[in-house]
Amino acid sequence: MGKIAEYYYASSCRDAVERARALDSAAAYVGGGVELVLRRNPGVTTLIDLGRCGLSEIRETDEGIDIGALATLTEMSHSVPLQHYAHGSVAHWAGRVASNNLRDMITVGGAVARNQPWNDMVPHLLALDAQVHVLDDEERTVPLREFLRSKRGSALVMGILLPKANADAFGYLWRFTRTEQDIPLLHVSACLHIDTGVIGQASIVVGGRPGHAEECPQLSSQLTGHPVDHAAFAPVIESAGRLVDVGDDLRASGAYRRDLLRAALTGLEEFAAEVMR
Amino acid sequence: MRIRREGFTHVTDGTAATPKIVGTSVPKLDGYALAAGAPLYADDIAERDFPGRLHGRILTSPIAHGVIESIDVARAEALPGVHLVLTCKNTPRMFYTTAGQGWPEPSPYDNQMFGDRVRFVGDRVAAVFAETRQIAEDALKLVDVKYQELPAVLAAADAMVDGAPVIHPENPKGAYDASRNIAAHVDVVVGDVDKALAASEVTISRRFETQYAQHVPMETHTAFSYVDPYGKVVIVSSTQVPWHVRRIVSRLIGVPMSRMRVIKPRIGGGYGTKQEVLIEDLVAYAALLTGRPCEIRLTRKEEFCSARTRHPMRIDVSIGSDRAGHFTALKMYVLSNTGAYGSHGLTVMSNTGSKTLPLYNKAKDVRFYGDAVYTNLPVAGAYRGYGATQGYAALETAIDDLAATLNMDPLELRKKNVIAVGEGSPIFEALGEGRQGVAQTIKSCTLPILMERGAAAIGWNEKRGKRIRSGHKVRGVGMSTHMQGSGIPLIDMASASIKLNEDGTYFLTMGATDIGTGSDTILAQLAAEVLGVSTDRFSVLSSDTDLTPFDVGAYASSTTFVSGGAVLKAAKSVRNQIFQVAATILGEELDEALVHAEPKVEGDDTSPDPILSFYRMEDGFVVSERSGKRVSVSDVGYRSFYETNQKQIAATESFVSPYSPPPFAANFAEIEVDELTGKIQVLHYVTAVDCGISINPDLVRGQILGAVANGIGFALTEEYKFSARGAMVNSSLFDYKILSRRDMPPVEVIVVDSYETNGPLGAKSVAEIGINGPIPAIGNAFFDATGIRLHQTPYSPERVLAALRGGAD
Amino acid sequence: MTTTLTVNGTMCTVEIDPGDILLDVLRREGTLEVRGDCHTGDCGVCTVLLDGRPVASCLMFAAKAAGHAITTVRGVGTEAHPHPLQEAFVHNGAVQCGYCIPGAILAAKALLDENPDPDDQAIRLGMDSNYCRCTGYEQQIEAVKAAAAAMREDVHQ
Ligand SMILES: Cc1cc2nc3c(=O)[nH]c(=O)nc-3n(C[C@H](O)[C@H](O)[C@H](O)COP(=O)(O)OP(=O)(O)OC[C@H]3O[C@@H](n4cnc5c(N)ncnc54)[C@H](O)[C@@H]3O)c2cc1C
Repeated sequence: MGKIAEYYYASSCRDAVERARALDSAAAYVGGGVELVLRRNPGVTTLIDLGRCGLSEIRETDEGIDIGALATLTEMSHSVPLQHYAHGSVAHWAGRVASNNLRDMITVGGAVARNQPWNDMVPHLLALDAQVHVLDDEERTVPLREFLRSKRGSALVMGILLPKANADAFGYLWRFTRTEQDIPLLHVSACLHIDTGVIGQASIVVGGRPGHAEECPQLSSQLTGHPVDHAAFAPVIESAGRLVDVGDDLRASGAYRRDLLRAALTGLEEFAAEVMR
Repeated sequence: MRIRREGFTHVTDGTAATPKIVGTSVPKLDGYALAAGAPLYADDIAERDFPGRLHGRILTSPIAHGVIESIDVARAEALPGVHLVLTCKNTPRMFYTTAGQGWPEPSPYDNQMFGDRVRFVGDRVAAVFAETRQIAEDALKLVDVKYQELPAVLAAADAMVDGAPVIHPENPKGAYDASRNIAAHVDVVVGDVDKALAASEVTISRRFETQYAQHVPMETHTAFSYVDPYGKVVIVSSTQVPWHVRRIVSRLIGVPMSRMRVIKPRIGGGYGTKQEVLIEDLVAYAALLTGRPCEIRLTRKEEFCSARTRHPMRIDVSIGSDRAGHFTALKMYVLSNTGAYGSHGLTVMSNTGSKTLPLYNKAKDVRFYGDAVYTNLPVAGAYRGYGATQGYAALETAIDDLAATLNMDPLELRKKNVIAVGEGSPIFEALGEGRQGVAQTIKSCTLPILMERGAAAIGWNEKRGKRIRSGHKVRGVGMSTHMQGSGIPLIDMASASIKLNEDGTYFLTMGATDIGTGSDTILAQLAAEVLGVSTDRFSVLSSDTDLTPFDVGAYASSTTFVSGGAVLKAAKSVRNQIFQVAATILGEELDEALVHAEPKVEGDDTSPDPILSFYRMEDGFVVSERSGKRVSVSDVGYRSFYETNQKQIAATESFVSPYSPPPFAANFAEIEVDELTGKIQVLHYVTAVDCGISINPDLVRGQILGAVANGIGFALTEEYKFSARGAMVNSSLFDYKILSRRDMPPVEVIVVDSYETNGPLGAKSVAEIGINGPIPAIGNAFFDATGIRLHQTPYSPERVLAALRGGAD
Repeated sequence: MTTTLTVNGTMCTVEIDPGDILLDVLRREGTLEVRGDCHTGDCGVCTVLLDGRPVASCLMFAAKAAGHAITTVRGVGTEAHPHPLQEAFVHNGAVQCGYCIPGAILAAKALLDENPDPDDQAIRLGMDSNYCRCTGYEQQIEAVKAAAAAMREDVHQ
């Protein structure tokens, strides 16, 4: 962030988008503002505050659960509907990642829009097949994976929709950190549908390493249709290191991240077994 | 309010005289102010009193080793708002050491305010003072420096090899052999260790390496300076050593001590890093040159890259023993990395031996030797534990291996070999802080009880060797024993003054530097005990070179013992003067000689001061032992201020001791190892400590808990990482991981008091010893859990997993 | 730009740059109990309450805080009128250098407002932003429990 010339309190989503479009890359929306302060973009001279756009609500709808873009991690962790969604994984982890005063700042919109490699919300939302309410030329709802692929600068994230289809699924989130107050060296999220001992549908997402969160259909498909037992998971655990690119950086080597991947998927197996009991 | 101190046991044997104030957890005198956020730190005061001050920023070297070919500051100087740019061209050229230590200074004079050479990424190149921090920062970018880059030494092991780049070609005064990059060297021999090792029934030799790590005070180094109306340069600094700051800066910038005053306000954590003069010279010089108040506050990145670190060490230990486990020989070689400058290089390394080897005094043949070498990496310095932490990492893990070799319980092996009351060690005399030491005989030690209590608390007998497993996690227990010192014998001097007010209250001024430890409080407790009042009858003022008497500062675990000795003596002297006036009021005889007898800390003669058979102090009164009559101290005060034989009842006393009685500790850890990730989880940590009489048990416990937490971080997660060119790449708290509240296991503290006759009212030190336990206790627990020995810290998950897989750690 | 900040119940009009950070503005305005060093949201020293919730003032735009209630530690208690949390901290040796304490007290205050009877786990989680390098945390955790108990008793009376 260079010299900020203007801090604009948008009166509505529409107002915010219009302002952003007029200024193009010189404008940025403020969610929690955490990233904007931390990694200043010299091109940005106007900040558009979304606090007055009514985007903080979390509510249950016919489609699932709508999370306003400005909902903070703490608000998500306190949300009763979220505490029941996918057996509570979103609420549980929203109350545990980062640290307490950041959890009261970080917004789900900011997390999704920024999508850092080590973000924990994005991979988990991906695994849960979340949708994004976007306001751009028009208001539309797109799958999160699509939004992340084709994000445009002035597109405003109005909120996230967690689809009803996964409400009774089992959300799994595994992250490995050096201390509890740390970003993950590796993150694995999954959403499992288990019906009478059989995995109906599985979705595995890997994040928390260099590069963005990625769905791993080759792993997920290996589980689909299998009963919950070691025979189902063993090949997944065994092949993961080959099928997933885990990267390498100063926080952890590629070899170690592959070990973590095994640990995460072993954890998934234990989680599934636990769920069965 | 009821506070449940769950993990705390304080054992007193009840034989010592029952003091009233000493032994009580008096809340810290400044506690409420600190808890309410009063503006007490250097930057708070600067912001409040000098809003118009200049802000300094330091330009640091981007390369590990090089010569400054040219430096052009014209563009920086021309930036509006810039008032001063300092470089090697306009600053004193004197060589000095930044280490705040006694005199003569034991660290080499290898540092200049600014040099024409840079020796590590983070070395000082220039400083800018400007109207705002932002302008100063912008100006840094306008300083045009051309470097001729030189080959660098980026590992201690490379420093002494033939042909290695010479880091200090100027051959600093006090460096051992600059041509071979050896800043300091020690070699202390008792007997013939190689012969003894060869003759021993069992010998083991082990190597251990510790990493670069840092104190991480929550407040980074901060100082400001202004010139007062008398032309005096006043420095307000977050320092542990105000007098050393005054001496070093005074000599460096040529201002006499009469025109320099150093004030220590409250400081936001020290742990050793503020035993160093890192910015005070700059703010003082800039204030002199500009006539404006000037401040520097290091950024977190600067704190990591340019302030001080713990000396990384590679230590080779050999132990000789008979088959029954009686040590016969101990040999330790240390290769210490002092970084680009030799600050504390000699003394930290000396302590690696002197604070560890005497614990196992049964070995008759001992050798301790080592080299502290220069490298082109960040500068090491004083850090809580001061070399002993590294020494114990090596020694205590090697002893654990020896126990395994002997097929003995490691606890039993230690019991056979640790020092006991009435014993000494030749090492005490042979090895001091960079020079000869002073012979010591242990007068107080509850180590056997510490080992027993600690073992019971962790469940040593039930858990050891059991390898309790759940899934891919396995548990183990480990232990270690330790000693430290209490000040540097015959070197550390402290002084204190007490004066009586006529209402019977007192004013205590002392050089002692309270860096959060609570020394202002516990020293007031000592005085209050002698003077028979509670601490609320005292006001205290400490650490101001103009207003309080001298003290070396807060380091070497000296404050309670050495500064405490000075306070005790001053209190006794004031007490005796009060007795004298009281005697005249009561019309009783009192021998002058008793009044003027040199007040002393108890020592070997433990009989009470003779004057106490005539009078005693009790709740603000003097009570005659002969007549039972009493007179209030206030009456004494009014009389001596206003009526007869008028004078200020007051005393200034100094204390220096030939003793440095060690505190002792036994540490126990229970851990769980995740075999899939390599993560070590400490489940339970028990630390049992003997620090003499605990003057203030809550504060004693706090010192131990803080040291243990830092020690566990050092053992598990804290580590500098460097680029191939020697730049630290994780210089933020985002990537240098200290432990948060969620990471700390429950830590149980067991304090078993002893009575140290050479200490003030029985006290020894406690500040440092706790940090030495976690590396060996956790490492030994890992060995118990897995049968695998870790030889390098931190025990990071990646390294641990490699060790579990049989790779080199 | 001119904005209005409400600090400990007092409204004040301040001149700020649109990109100013709350921590810097507070200090400039003399709210010196709010300190901070990392400016990266890593240490918790700079914690203030925004509408009762703890935030890192070093990562917050001052303009974003306008219109919200900012509470610093002096809004919780002072030397003369300490809050039970401050009492408990002081009486359990939980204050050493003191630098991180205002932030820790505020995080604890927010926690107790939400959960009057937190267990160890909840306290450690609810205050996990707030690093302390001196105390090893244990005495602070006990202090929070003691203060919570005292406050619950107070409510019952
Ligand atoms: C010390 C620290 C530790 C952290 N640890 C973790 C962790 O462990 N796990 C984790 O998941 N995260 C962690 N976070 C990261 C956090 O999730 C990100 O910083 C997050 O992106 C910040 O959210 P925000 O609302 O403050 O974003 P902002 O800073 O407000 O915005 C980020 C970006 O998104 C844009 N934006 C914001 N809102 C919208 C919107 N509604 N529509 C479109 N664009 C928008 C902004 O313009 C900006 O470009 C950590 C952050 C810090 C500082």
